[in-house]
Amino acid sequence: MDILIKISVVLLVGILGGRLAKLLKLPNVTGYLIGGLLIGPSFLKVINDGDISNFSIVSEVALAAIAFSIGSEFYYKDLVKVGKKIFIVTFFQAFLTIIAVFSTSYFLLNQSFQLSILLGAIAAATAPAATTMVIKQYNANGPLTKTILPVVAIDDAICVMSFGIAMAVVKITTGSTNASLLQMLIHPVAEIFGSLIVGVIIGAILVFLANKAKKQDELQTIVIALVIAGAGLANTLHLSPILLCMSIGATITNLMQNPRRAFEGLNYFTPPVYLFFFTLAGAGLHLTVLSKLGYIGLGYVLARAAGKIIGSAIGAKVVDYPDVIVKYLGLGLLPQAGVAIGLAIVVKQQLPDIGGTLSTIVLGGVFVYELIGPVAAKIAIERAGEIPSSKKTVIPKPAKSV
Amino acid sequence: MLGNYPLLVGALLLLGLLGGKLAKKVKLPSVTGYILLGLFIGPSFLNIVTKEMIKSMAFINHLALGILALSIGSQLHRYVFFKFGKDLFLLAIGDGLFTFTLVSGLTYLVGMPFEYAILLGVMALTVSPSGVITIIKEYGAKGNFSKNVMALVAIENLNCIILFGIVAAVLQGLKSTDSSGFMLFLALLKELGLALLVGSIAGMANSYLIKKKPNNSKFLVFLLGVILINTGIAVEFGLSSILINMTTGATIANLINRKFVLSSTLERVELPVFVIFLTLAGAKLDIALFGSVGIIGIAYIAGRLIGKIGGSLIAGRITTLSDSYRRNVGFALTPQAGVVIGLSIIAEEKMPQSNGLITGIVLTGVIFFEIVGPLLLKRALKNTGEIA
Repeated sequence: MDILIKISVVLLVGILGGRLAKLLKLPNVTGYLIGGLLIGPSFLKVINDGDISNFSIVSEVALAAIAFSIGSEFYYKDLVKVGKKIFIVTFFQAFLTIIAVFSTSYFLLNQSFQLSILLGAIAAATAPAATTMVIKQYNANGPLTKTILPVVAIDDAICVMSFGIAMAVVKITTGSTNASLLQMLIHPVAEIFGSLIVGVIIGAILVFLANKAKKQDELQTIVIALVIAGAGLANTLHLSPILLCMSIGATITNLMQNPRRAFEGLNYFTPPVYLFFFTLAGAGLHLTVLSKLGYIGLGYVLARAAGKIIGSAIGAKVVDYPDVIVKYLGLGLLPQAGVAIGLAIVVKQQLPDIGGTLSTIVLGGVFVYELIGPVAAKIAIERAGEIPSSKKTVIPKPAKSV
Repeated sequence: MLGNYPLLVGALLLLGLLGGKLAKKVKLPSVTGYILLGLFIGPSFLNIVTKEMIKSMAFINHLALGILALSIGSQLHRYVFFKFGKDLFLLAIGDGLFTFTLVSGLTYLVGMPFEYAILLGVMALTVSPSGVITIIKEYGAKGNFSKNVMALVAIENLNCIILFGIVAAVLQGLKSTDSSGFMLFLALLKELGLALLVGSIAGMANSYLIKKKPNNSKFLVFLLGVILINTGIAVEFGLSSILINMTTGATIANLINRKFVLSSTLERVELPVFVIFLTLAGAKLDIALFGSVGIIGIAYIAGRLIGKIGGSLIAGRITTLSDSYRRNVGFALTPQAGVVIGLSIIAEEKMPQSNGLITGIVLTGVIFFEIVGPLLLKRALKNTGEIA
């Protein structure tokens, strides 16, 4: 079949899936994913794995755009006020997730130390895309929404760090490296700071160019160009595209006179990209991974959910956040996708011994969380009362004391 | 850099925009800038963008061509056919015939292959709407002459687009069938018919959806899906993708009364797609061909200039237009820019063996007419006394 027809099939199936999801009161994202799952290798086989890797540019662009838009949450005046708290909460939920998954796997299920610690580190990863889309779709606003986005963003940095540490520990204990722990930790630190710095530089260039752009569509093109180039540069320099693009977004939020123009410009362009991205992600899910999950997989999935939910609750309590956040933040942090798969691939390449088992578990987890995650996120913001109802014109109170 | 698509796409966008800015500085259309910059970073000069990269981006080409054809097609509103009087139509047809014959004939004589010469003849008909409108606005021209000129721009582009769609489909059909005579005619008829059928079905589906007033984002996704499916079907069955997408555009325009629904939806993605597309199109040009462009380019420019001016002078005789109109209207219709470049790139897509020759000639023409055209138009406006 011609590739163009495949692309259009993906788009149209995505639209249909979205419609269906609306009827069932599920988030659109879930509809896209299920639509994709249906036309993917598990069922109709219209889209195969080769196609998915051919279209990887779309996924990269979509992720870059999502990360960029999350960057808009990092306004320095807000950061000064709430930055520390958010950091603590993020740290707590990530740390508890790691502990929960590690102990389940190591103590309860008698898995090897290496596998357990790597699983723990990967479990901490949260996919920003799904949650962001759910929040956008329902126009959610409120203290919980305002917390979820930055937490998801910082979580990526923490995950880079914890995964780096886990890898280093594993390599040293298995004797597969001569480097010292410190030497090995330079990598993740360099990745985090490198991403942030390159992002700030690109952001500054963007501000400079954006101020020169006369028309909105010109500005839009500049934004798209630089965000996409940022993701590409991250690939080349082995940095995190998510952190880098987020940092671009954060930079222009703080430096540009009217940053909304830039974000709106991107928003015009992104709906087809996002829809394509999620439908394709659905097609990338293989039903067969579920049957291979077994006890470890089940334990991993449950422990991760417990870690995220309880960790967020404890973290939020510690910094004295309002009850809605304590109760529901963890539910909003369940989605997991590309980042986790990417990390599993790294393990597979560098430690082939445990890589096979590990990626089976992680892929199973991604399958479950891709589908459950957005629904959980919707439930979280709904229960927290942050979805403005269209019938009543009650405007949600702007978050003040978060 | 091959393999790292995001970086490539980002770089192409930025460089293309830079080219557009530079072109504006020397008062050329930004389109020319994108293409020239593409040429510069392409295999002909810096080779930053290699042949393989260009090939790997074929998808963006398809998308851009589809959008282009759809929005061109949406200009074919029945209103345009009814509104303008008989005189203007006669003038446009006479003018068009004259220009077409001269350009095709002259370029064929100096060695252009037959089918390229025909296409060049058709493309010579286009007039740059933006060029004409900016000049008329800039000098504050007011009066019947200016109004008629703007109407003529619409009509002549319309003629050109219809002709181009048909000619491109016919040429494609000629190539794909070996049999001759009646069979060939039948095959052509079938292909044209199928293209029109697919296009109008897609158009009706779209119109139905528009009537349900979807939100803009969803409609955008749907529209892009339809454009791609049209193109995909065209590729799969060897039909003309331009004709299909044009038919879709025309169908929507005629079924829906909301004039701007298509343009305002496509506007949201147009610029980035076009910048990449045109920059790549520039990169595809083979500089070695520019030597051979020389004389054909001159033939094209001369043919178009004489055709437009002489054609309207002669065709004006059978109309009721006044003498000063007849003498000046041809000059007013010389600016040429974006539309023709789009068409030339579509043509290039149809006949890859031309290796950028058509685009090269058209581009030479655009550079000439973009500089000289506005001056001639200004003169015409002055002569008819519509600017002080």
